[in-house]
Amino acid sequence: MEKQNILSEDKIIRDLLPQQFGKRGMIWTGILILFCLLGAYAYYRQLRYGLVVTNMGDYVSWGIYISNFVFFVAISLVGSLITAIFRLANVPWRTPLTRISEIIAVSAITFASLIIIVDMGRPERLVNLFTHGRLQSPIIWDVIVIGTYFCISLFLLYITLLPDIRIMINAREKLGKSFAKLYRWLGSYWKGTDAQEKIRNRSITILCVIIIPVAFCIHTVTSWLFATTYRPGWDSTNFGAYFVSGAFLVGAGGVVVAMYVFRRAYKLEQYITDMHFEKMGRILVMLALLYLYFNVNEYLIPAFKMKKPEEVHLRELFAGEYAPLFWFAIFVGMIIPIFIALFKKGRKPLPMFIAGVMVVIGAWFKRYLIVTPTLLHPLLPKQESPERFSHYFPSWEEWAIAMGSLAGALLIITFFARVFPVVSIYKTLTDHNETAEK
Amino acid sequence: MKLLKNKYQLLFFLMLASGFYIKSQAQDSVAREMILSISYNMSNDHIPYLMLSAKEKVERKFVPLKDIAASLYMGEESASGFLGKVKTDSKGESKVFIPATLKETWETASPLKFIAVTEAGKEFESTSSEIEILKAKIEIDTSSDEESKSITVKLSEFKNGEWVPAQATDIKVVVKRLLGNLPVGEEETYTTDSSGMVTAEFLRDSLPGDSKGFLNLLARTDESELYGSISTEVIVPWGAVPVIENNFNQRSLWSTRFRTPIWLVVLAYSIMGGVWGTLIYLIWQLLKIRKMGRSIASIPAP
Repeated sequence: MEKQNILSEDKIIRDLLPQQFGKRGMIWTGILILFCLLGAYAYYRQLRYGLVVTNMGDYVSWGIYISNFVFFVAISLVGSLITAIFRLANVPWRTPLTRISEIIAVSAITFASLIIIVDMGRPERLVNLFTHGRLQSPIIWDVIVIGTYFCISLFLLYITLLPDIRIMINAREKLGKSFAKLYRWLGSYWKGTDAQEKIRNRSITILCVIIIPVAFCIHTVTSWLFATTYRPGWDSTNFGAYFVSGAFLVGAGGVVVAMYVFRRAYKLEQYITDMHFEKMGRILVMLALLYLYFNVNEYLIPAFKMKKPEEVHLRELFAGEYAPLFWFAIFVGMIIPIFIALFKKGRKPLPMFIAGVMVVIGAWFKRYLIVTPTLLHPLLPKQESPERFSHYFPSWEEWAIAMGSLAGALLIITFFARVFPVVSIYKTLTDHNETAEK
Repeated sequence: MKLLKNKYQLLFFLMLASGFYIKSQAQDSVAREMILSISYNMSNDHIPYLMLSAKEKVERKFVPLKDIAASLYMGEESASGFLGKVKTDSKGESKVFIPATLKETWETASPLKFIAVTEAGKEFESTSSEIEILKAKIEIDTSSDEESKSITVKLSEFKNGEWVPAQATDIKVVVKRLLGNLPVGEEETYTTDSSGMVTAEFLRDSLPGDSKGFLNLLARTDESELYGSISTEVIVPWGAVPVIENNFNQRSLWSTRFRTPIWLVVLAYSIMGGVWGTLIYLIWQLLKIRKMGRSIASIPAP
């Protein structure tokens, strides 16, 4: 930050304006598009032949798609964490992180919605959710709250972009004509007058206030999709808090990973500094400890009582078929990142990037473990069902669609970074001027 | 030394292998014994049938034998008394009804002799079992007044061409319930007197019946050595008419979308209204910003 004070405004604008993809950027985008195309082909096969191409059955009717959905919903919570909470708490170092977290939130919630449609099998029946939906059903609550959260996140992203759009319109000589029309269409009316700025600031504050309860709702309601059923592993009063704490952790992990990648790719070392990783490291430790605490509650108490239906489920997780994955998710997703970020050296950019990747990967598998093992143990006895219904491993179509959706979310972030600044130019300039004045 | 060691290893493995071979041979040589039994059943004067059961005893437990083929006969093991050929199911059981061709024999003969013979197979030798039963029937009569209700059951056996009272036989008098039978009174069983009759007091006054309060009373000889399992059922209006609270059309969490509880409607729409009202207000604010921008001349960016 000290270095930033001596930067000129021109340099800040030049550094933060969107840049054309280099060779690595093109390869990265190409790989993501390939994954998306593979996912699209797998989805075509699912539409053509039906859900029979998946390995889901009568028992595991929510497989990798719903795990992916829960993961996307979780990571989308980061928008509210960084933007809203940090803004309302007036955290001074938040500027380089807010835009990144907002775009992660928008891309994740977009694909959370899409993956639900994929899971439905018959996408043309989506409209039935609205025409025949029952307000008593948590699924309808989820549909409403996801739609609302998507709108708020998009609105927040857009309204914070307005001053930057004006800067980009004025910098058309540097940026070229590629997106000039888009910039004009999106924000040519923004003049940056005091009256406009006042309304914009007030709107952002209001958005930050309403996005927090909506963000809590989105993941709490998602947890209720599970917790409102009387099944081992889901029948818990702890589930809302457990899901929200996990979502904050994976969101923070996702932001750390994105911070590192953007910093390296766009050479933003002067803007996303070691201090930001240091601060995010502390937050990551706190969130990981919080999530670990909820995990202890979620597993230790049922294990202490060992009710018969819970016993089979817990044994499967602790020492059975799912034990390697379970302990992987606990250690890689929580315990090891805590140990990395607990020490000052671990809160440097590279170790933090590694910790962030571990958190995200661990979180993905954690969602898989929340969904699948419970479905394999229904309370009613299994009768005359094929042997394959008692086990579940996703088919290649399911993997391709899941990976395609993850690639799709990353592609939105990538394209966004190509078109818009990943760090707010306007806010950086404002911070810079304020610091200079002091 | 190495060679010597290898020799010992070879010897050890040979001994081990021969041990396994001897053990498996010994196991094969133990003959398995099948326990075959048949029972005679008749309910409400319907067509009587025989139940065949095949099992074996393994480590002090009875294990049902599946796919055991057996031929059943009435009277004697001949083509004229052939009832049918059956194969046991996964419970080790099989059922055969007495065919119409043997109706006359069944009506006139008493006692009746039934024989089951299994075919010899790889695992079991041919086994047979037989039972002899006296043909019997059960009649139920009920009476009730304001103070009490009673059930009179009469058991008769077919002897020398006529129905005579069957004495000193245990009869169960029960009410049929969904998952089992409930004795009508304190006694589990009642023993017939010299006139072949038993009288049971009905002590289940508050027992819920069907939608109109009807109960199914059942009297039966339970696997009697003399008569087999025969039973007769009557329907009596002695049950309590269940009062079923029908909340199908009420507002509830499990009702249709048009019957959502009011509190949920109010709560959900208040939240949605609050959030979406705010969003609409913000969109209006954005339009205001837009209008302001359109109305003023361009100002250079910082």
